[in-house]
Amino acid sequence: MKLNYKWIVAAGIMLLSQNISAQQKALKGVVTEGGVPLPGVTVAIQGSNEGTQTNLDGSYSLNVKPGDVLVFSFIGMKDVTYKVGDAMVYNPSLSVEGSQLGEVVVLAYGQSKARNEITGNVVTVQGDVIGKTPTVSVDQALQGRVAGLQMATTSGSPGATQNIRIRGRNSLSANNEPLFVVDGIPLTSGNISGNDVGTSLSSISGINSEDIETMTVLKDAAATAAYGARGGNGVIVITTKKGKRGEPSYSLKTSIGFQNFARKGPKFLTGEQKKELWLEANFNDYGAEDGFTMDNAWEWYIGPKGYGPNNILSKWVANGSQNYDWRNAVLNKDAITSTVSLGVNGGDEKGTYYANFAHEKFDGVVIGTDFRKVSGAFNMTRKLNDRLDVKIGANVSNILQNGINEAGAYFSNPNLSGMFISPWAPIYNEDGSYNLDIPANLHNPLHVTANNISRNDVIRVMSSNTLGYKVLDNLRFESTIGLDYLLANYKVYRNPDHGDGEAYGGNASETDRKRFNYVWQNSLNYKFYIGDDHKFDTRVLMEYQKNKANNLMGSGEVLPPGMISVGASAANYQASAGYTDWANLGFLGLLNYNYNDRYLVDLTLRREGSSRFSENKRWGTFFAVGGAWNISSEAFMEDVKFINLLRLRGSVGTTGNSEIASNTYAQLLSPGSYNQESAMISTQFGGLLGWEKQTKTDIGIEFGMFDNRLTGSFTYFISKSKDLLYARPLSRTSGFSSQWTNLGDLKNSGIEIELNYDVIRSEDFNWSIGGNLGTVKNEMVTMPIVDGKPLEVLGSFKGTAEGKILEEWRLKEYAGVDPQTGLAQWYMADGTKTSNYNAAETRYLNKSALPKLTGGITTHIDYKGFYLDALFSFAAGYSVYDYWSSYTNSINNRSLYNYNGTTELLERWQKPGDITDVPMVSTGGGATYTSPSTRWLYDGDHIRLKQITLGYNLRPKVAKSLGLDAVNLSVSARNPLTWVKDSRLKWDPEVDATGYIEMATPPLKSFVFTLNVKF
Amino acid sequence: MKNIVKVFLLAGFVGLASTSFTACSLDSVDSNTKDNEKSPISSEKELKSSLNGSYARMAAETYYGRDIIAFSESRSSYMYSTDGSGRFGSISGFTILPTHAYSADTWEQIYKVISNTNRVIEANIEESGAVKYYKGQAYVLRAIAHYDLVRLYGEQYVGGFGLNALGVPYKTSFLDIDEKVSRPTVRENQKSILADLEKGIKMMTEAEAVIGRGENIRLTVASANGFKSRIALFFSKYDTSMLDVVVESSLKAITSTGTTVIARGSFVDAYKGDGIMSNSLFELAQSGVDNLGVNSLFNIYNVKPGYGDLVCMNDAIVSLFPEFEGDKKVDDVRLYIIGKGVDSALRNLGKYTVRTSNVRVMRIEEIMFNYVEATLKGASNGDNGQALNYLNNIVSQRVTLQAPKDANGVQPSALPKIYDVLTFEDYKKERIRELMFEGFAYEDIMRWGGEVVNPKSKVNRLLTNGKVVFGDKYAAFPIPQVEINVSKIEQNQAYK
Repeated sequence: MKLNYKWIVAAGIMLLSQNISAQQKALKGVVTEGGVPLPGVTVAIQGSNEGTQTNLDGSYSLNVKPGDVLVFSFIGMKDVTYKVGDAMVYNPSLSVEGSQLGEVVVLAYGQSKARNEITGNVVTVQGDVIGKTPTVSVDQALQGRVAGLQMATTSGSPGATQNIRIRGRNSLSANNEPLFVVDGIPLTSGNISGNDVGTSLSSISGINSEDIETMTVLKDAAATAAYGARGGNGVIVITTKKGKRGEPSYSLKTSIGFQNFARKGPKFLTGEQKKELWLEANFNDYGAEDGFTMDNAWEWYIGPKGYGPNNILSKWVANGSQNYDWRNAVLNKDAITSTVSLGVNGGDEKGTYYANFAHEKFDGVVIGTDFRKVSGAFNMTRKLNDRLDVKIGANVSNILQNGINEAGAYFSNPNLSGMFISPWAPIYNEDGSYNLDIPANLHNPLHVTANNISRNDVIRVMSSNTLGYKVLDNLRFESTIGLDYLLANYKVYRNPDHGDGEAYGGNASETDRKRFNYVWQNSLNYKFYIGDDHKFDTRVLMEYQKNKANNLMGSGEVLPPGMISVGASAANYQASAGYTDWANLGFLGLLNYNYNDRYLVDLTLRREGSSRFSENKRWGTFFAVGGAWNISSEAFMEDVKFINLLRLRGSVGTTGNSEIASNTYAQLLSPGSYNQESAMISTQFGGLLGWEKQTKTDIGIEFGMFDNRLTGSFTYFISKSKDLLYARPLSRTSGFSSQWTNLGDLKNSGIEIELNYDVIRSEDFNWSIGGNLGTVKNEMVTMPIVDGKPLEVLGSFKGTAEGKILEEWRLKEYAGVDPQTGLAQWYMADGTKTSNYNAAETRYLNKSALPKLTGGITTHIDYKGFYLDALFSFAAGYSVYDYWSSYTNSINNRSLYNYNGTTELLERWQKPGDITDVPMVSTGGGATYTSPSTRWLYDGDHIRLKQITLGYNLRPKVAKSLGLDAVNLSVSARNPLTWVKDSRLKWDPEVDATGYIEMATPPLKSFVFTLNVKF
Repeated sequence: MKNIVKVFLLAGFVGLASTSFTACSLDSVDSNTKDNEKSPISSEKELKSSLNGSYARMAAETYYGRDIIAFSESRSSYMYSTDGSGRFGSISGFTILPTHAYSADTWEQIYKVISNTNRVIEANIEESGAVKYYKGQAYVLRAIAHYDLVRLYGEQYVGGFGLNALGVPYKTSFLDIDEKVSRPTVRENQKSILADLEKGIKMMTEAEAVIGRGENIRLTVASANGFKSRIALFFSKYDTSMLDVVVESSLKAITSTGTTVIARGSFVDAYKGDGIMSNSLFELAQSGVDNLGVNSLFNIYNVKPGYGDLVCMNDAIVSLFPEFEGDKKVDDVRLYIIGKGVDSALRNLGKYTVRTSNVRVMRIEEIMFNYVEATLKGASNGDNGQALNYLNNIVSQRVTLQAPKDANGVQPSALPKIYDVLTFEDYKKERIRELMFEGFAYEDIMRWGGEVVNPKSKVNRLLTNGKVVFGDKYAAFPIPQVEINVSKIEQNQAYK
């Protein structure tokens, strides 16, 4: 911005002075790249043969006269031009071509623009930041770095999917995940694992973090409207690295680290503690009847009136009361992670190349999980002639993921069995073999994970290819074809000796999911000027996308010992197959208008048809208008020296959402079987279904002050969704649980703040501190009228009603234990307490599972070659629910005998007068204590040191003396520290977007050492 | 000029490409579904396949596949759930809440059967013998499904309200998913159920006369009459005019089925197979590739392998099967069904011995017992002699009595037990022994005005004296909260 102003001033001065001082002078300066002097840079006077090169310390001197235009060029760098004015010194800084260094932002359909040319709300995260984030899925690098982007962990298992919400939840039942666009190709999102029981596998887990140039988050209508129909949840544009002009440059990166649970979670009872509670439970129930006291409860227990000597507890005591810590036994402590990648890139004036090969291995922190990925990324650009150019890109990966059944309360889920198995049950038999006699029918997770298989083997090829044709200098035609092929093989084997396969003599299955997704985009881009000041950039585009999914599954039972394949099974073969597809067709028009770099207007219009909607509701029209005023470019701002950038920007427009399953609108019959005959079952009622639409408004101010030491932005946004795609609950008497329909209005609004301040700027020592903050206020504005009242949709834990938050927590409020009776109590409507759970009032709690406020704080310090980066992320204003409390905190035999409970149970009520939250224990009964209530709802508010990196860049001279271009060493920690507001909450506060604490692997903390060499 | 040509060429190319795609249909394909609006039932085969859908849904674990049988057995006089794997403990202890899956899932599943069945009934298709047979079955299925809802969710057991208590919504339309529903009385339910039964039986009888009788894995005239006998017996507690219906339908079922009481020698083994038993009137088919796996009845009765939550109460078994009758040693083949599991608890090891067992929904012995009970309760068309006959038909094939050695030290041979007199007490015991683990226990207790007490109910502090007697508000299931949230129908008294 400041630059433009300087240009105008310089031009003005030049005009004035041209006649007076058209004389030669020596212009001097130093050319640098990122602060490092750059030798060998060509400095030429445009339109002449005169020029020079910078010497070893990057300095140059050249005789010029005012009005000359200098071009500074260096292979692999972007040219810098300079019009000579009065100044005697000019110190240009060159930047690497392609790496936009935050100045140029990649937008929809490959448009890249300077910051001051954008009217939309976008945030870019650079590839080097992403490369430093030691996670499998690159999207995790966004957490805490983008205002208004919330991330929730579905599982800490390597490669599992993340829930991302940009500016809250915009939809009721349709997908709320943003659209990922990789090199122009919209990706199908979500879980690409071969089944839904085991660990999930993120659709972008095949992309190596080293291959990413930038990730840009598009938030408002102006930015997302180009993807209009599917941009309702925001868009994340991923651009992969391309080659840079110059000699081949090699880079090698290796890292090794280890990881553990970020939070330990609640403690579970030891054998002795559990025994004490179980005896007390029996005393409470049978003490009076059978005439015993707590003191002689043990005699009663092992006696004939009690449980006898063969009871599991009796045997445990007889065998010496050794405590068996199952929770510890299922952990794979200090799980090793390692990555290595080797890349090369280079190019000449005809084109560039980029290739990178990577191998990553992550051991899971829970037994039975690991992740291995081999990937290659290849990008090539080539000018065929003056007018034609091609870009060819491919990303090929193979992922091998051993997963566990963690998507639910499966007996073979080690996360579950670690908590559930009684500490009275030995892990091993005396002879060292696994104990297979686990109480309550649970499976010994050590045996099961050692002998069973749940394995994803996913091969994916993503290729994006573009042919560009320069019809005229300012008219360009581009045709892009994106191909995405996914072959996911999912193999299951369950051994016949123990666990899920025991009843079947072993069973095995194999699933092949094949998915082919192709996108074809054709566009014309025409740029023109009217006069000198009116710049237009127009684009028309058509896009067709088709997704075909095929799957084939075979299973069988009874396997020969030692054989694990479905091909070896002897009985009960079953096969299933399925094919589904969907298609999208869109037409897009874009018009950018720029007046003198001061006023900008962007217009977008998109018409899109989706096969997922009813026949006459398939097409939707979406538009956006964006505008910006670069105040700092105005003449009247000339004298305000301390302001480098000041601009106002805003947009309004519509986006849509079509992320629902195919054929949701149809009345469907599904196949079944009865008596080996065919059967048809009505499984979906269907109904008219069309686009869900969001109207988004966004206004913001962006600024840079004090030589851009202080930069930042403030944004206010409001997003209204209407015709929400919603699985409306039906009376179950209809035979259907829900019907998809368009209903209701939803509103999200909030502010976003981003600030960055360079506290210290100097040659050797720099310190900057930055932060971002986003708030979201969610409100269900209208619900359809049913029986004269707005529809209220209620669940066991949540409710959605007019004026409330979408899926607001709605529970009975827990009122502690009655000090007299020892029974749990809840509040009734009149405020009094009751022990009758059914009589208590169910209340809205003004919180949902999504935070009202999220953000991050970053700081960067560098001194000579050392640097320190830290990122804190925080979230506030949301609650999480302990979904499995009825198993882990039950005050009866469930936790005290069959399974195991948390140490919170030790706080139980024992005698009249005791004040506590844990009721009296019993052998049965008391089940209402763990029924849905605020007892199990926790504030999720937390601050987390998300990442801290300490590194060292070898000084260029030293590196050179080793024959290398650059050497970087670093150690980073991810999630090393967490502070949680609610002291009652022992679980990790980051759970998936539904807000339920599940049996999945929680977020991890890791420590990683990295070596990065360029040569 | 050249450039303009190129522009037009390109524009034409893009235009053509676009139109060729626009012409592409935006219809999605899904290989595993069929659109019912575009292609409704139009042939006899489709009708049969759709009816099969109803049977398949009945066989789901949340209905006859497991739950509705386990609900009854876990509230019996001889069995309860230890909650070992977290299953059915809340049923035995009467701690089930409106939010629990047991309340919601079975409700939903039964209405799913009804909905799919209504689609069969509403099918617009030319009438033939087979069509009449299938539609007749559909009417009977609809009646059975509503009866099953009433016996779980209706409040007929509570507070002496009987037929005046709240029943369940009676659904007769597939298409009207937004029908305003409310809870009619149990009396109205009774009327609708009997009307459907009569209509269905009439159609099936006409059809069987033409096309003959079908297999026992679908309803036949015999089993339809059997259901009428079972359902009439259920309502006879509150409406004695039903007793005559019991007798009449039992006779029709018994005479038309052609099967007989299973012989003593075959009794235990008959349950081990997974095919149709010879004494069956109606079974829901299961097979090696089509069974409920870990959610089967086998898995809930058996332990290792199996969840094994349902166990017998020792004292109850001892008193139900006395070793001696007077001085005679009793050998009741039905006791062989019960045995010690690997955890040494007394279990049902003899019925549902594999996960592929068909669900034995109805057999001839039950219908005979229904006749006996109705006659004992005073049915005007009941014949005491015939009733005694039926009882002895069964008991003589189950129990032998062996007198002690006589004065000469000679052991007399064991003889089949025969009752000389018909008493209600004897009848009740024989019915329990015969039908245990088959899903009749709770309804029998309630009909006989009894009580449920077990280790789980004893520790439920919300119950009076740790048990539930006929009339107790906890005798009825809660209406699921998910239902009330939408249709706002009235909750049962215990759960308000």
